[in-house]
Amino acid sequence: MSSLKKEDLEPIQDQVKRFVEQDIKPIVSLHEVVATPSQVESLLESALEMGVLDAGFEMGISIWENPKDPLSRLLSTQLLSLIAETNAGIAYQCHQYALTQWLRHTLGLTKENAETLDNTAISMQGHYGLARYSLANYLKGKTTQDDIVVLRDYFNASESTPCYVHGLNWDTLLAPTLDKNGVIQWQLLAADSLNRTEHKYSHGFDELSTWQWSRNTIKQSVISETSIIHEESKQLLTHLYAMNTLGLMSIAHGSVKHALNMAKDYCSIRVQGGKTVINHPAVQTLISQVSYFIHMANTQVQSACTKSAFEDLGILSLMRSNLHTEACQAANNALQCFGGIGYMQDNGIEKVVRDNNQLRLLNGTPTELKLFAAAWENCA
Amino acid sequence: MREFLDGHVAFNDSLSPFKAISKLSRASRAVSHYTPRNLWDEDTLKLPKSLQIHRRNLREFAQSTLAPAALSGDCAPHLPVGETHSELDYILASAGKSGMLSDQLPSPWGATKAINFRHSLVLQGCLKTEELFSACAGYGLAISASGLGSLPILLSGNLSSIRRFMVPAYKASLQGDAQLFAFAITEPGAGSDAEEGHGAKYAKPSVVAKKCTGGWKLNGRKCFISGGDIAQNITVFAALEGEGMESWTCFLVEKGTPGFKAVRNELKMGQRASTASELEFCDVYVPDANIIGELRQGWALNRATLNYSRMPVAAIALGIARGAMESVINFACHYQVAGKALINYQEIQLQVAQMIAETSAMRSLIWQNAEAMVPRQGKASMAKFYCSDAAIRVCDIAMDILGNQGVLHKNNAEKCFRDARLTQIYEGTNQINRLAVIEEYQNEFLTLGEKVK
Repeated sequence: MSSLKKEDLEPIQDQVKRFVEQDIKPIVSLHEVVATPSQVESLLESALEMGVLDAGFEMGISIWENPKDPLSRLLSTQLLSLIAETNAGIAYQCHQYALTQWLRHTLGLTKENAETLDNTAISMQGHYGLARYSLANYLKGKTTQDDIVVLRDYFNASESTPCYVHGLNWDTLLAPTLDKNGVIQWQLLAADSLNRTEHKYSHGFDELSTWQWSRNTIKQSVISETSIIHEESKQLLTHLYAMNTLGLMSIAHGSVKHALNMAKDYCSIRVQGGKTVINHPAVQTLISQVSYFIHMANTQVQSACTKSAFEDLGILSLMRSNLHTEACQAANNALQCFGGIGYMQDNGIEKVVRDNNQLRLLNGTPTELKLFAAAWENCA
Repeated sequence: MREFLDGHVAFNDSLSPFKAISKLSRASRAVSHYTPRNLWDEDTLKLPKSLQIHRRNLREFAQSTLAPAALSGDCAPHLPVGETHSELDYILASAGKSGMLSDQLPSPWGATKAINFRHSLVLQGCLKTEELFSACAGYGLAISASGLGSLPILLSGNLSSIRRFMVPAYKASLQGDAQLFAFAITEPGAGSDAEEGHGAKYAKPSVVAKKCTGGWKLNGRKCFISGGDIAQNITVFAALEGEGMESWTCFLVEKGTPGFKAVRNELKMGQRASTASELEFCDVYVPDANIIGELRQGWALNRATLNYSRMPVAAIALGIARGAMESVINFACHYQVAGKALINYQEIQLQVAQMIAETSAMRSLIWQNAEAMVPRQGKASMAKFYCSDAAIRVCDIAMDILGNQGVLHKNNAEKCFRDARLTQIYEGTNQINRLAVIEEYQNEFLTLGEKVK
């Protein structure tokens, strides 16, 4: 794989900006019209063709293609943020797709033709939260008997229904499971052998679907299963969670940037009390918090890409916990600048609010992330 | 049934405060012993007897009629202007029969028992909106917006207008033929300007009334009017031709009047079972007799109406927050993690306690200030912005407790968030309401400034 250089970043970003302008924006420009699954699929196909998503070219420029390299991590976050500046749902799907490909590659489950779209979804979380302290203890190699009980319940998809978001048609699912030795393994499951429910209505990411799934006790659903040792399992999961954390933070960063631009545009033309609303302190204080968030998020994402932060899931979890709380506040403030019109779907700002709530809730809420971080610290 | 939650002792444990205190002397017990009640009953018992009954009736109606239709109403398809889903028709008819659409007048003209007029209209409105919106904000708004629409008529104090417009509509509603009112102040170019004096000075009115023989002709547009497309009577605020907002006059426009139509219904983030309509007026003839109050009294009626309605909006926020809280407590009491219901985990208990505290604080602020027979702008506005901000905090917590399942519509909390978000905007944004508090006390501040000189 060719190694990425600093001077490579700008041309790649320019290319993705063109992708956003030419491919994504025409599909999502009418906020009240939701992109269809086939449109999302065709956007992902374009991203594959351009190398934004890993098509097996080993150029080192795709999202999450080479997470061991700090520059490649930084590029991944920048690309996701750029896409999220136009649509957070598409960015989330690109992120999920890239994580799936990385995981498949790492587990040796690479599909035959990487240049075509992979119909595999990923369900990273267990059925609720982040298994309180137990997942952190596992990843730190300090698992107790109590943790095993919690983890067994957490990954038990026979009696519970994990929830995840995926926008494409999928026929296989990558999901974690706890083996009899208490090691987290990965299984590739056949979709038609699972009980799965597609929720037509969920809070955000209108262009994607929210699913719940459980194992069918009668049908055999496992296509293949890993058999890795504890050390390998925790290293893999640590990297996966770290990438996921970076990706989610970047998407929040990009989508709030989108909100800020919308709010500034509106406030510079809307007149109230005889002057444009941008000149009212009531609005200026709202806009300032949004602006501050963007600077703060940018700094945090960059610092999270460094080696020391990337390997410290405790710090990353705390960063994410704080960042998403602030992102939701920022998105809400941006909406408030619009008054009544901001509440209407055709305006588009309300979707940014919902998408940010969704980012806060998936893969660990702020409370769950704090518990995770506390356990991580205690194990240190 | 388990006798205690994790991290606590059972009620009959010797270390339970309730058990320990029950063993004190009779005199000590008289001032310190009690048996905990459930949250709703505990608050209801603070009310006067007649309002306790009122609150129970409201809850029964809301939970039996609104709650079962809430989730489906929220995601029902967006219909063309003026068309309604059968669920909404049923709910409005039921609300009419139950007296919810005719509660601003005493019987026999309206549905409220004369004895209840000992208590303020605002407090009764707050009890109503909390209960309705705790079950479903969309349907709650469809019902309560009618009361907002008729308030200018009531506050005009003109018995002839009350008799002509309110009484027949109330009678029909009580028979199950829901006759709704709508309140039309917001204009495309003047959202906040319609709710704040300083802004109104600079506003260019969009809806203008021009004098003609025997009445007035209205032209212009109003936007975001709750229930504007289905109301039979709309209280429309318009400036007189050639004059500014100080000339605002309230006109009653009846559905079907030539030149008047609802041109679109908004696609809203939440409170979706009700409509927010854009109304168009093209030479709409309104006879002099349909002027509510007098010419140029519209601004006063508008502000008086907002003083009456902002406290119930605070209660709307409270109701939605309570709905989110009740849904999530129910979830936490049955959803199992590692063999135990979620409510046993300390991090969940802390969040549930926070929600209880937030909603209790909201209710205290509302009930304390809603008792006044003459509602005050400062108190109404502070309750409105405080409670709507608090409602968002509660909904955030509710979604967080649900974890990744917080995104699912079926779990209700995400709907409550979307519904609650509107309470920070309508009846004046929270920023405008903060300024309304300052407007109330400005003389005090000016006097203080003079003293320093």
